[in-house]
Amino acid sequence: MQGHYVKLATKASLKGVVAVAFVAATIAGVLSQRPSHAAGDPLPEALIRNRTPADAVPAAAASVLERIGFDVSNSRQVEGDVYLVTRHRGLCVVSVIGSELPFGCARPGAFFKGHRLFFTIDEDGRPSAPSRLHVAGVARGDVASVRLHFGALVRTVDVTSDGGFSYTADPEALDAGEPTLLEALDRSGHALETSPGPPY
Amino acid sequence: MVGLRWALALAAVTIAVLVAAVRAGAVEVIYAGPKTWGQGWEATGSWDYNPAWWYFNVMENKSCGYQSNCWARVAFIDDVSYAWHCSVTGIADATGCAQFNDTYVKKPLCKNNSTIVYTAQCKVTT
Repeated sequence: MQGHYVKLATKASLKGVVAVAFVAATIAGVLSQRPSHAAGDPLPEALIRNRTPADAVPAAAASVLERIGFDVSNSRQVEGDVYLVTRHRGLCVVSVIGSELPFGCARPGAFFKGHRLFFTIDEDGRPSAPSRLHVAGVARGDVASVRLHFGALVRTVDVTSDGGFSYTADPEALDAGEPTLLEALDRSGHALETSPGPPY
Repeated sequence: MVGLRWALALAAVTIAVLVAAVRAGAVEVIYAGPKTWGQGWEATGSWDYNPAWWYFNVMENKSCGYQSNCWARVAFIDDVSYAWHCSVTGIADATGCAQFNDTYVKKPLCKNNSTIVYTAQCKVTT
């Protein structure tokens, strides 16, 4: 009889431990808000370091982003106007360009999907003659700079220690239109990967 | 007469609540899809009018994810110069743009800006 009680008590304890572990894991997952990632597809390095006050998205932008499902509480500033922010368990690159907030989001577990760059191109004006053009993104850890080709015209921007990069087109590049090619360069300037620009 | 006053008061309160709801970003409209998009296909939503300004436009749930040729484009087009604003091109799973302090009449646009066929939907929010 006593043995039976011990067995029941052990079972109950085990269930309790499992329940507590499950709740703890769930809470940890929700609090961290970090999407899972597949092996070989690392998270941007900015997400691995501790968050600082400088990582906060500017208040006016944060207010708008929160209304459309972004969780700005875990944002990371990866370049001056470029932030990593989670949305619906996905990870997004968000730029703050005046009153515009262009962004791109990747599915959890596949942020880079084997590529070296994750980027968006945002602009104002007609597509054939933009009045403003900006390229922003995040690069993997082995990328030191990004070379943007606008036809024959070439511009190079450095990647920050957080992996961020941002380029606002000068008048000459603006005349050339959207980038035709992006190259991820290593520290010695060798191209690790090339990504074509949009076809239209 | 008292009944009429009550009816008018109720109508005023209802309108105020609706306006507040719209201003709070309560209205979300899927203006295209989910559907299959051929190469270069595009769709536009309706024009907005104060106070129901569209402020968020996204092309999402793309079946091609982050393939290197999975381009999508979203933009707002104004009704004066037909210029594009908040125009974003990307190959991520969701490509979008939100804006604030921009009160002008506009309609949302989204486009399969790639050379491949994929499924996706386009959504706008007031």
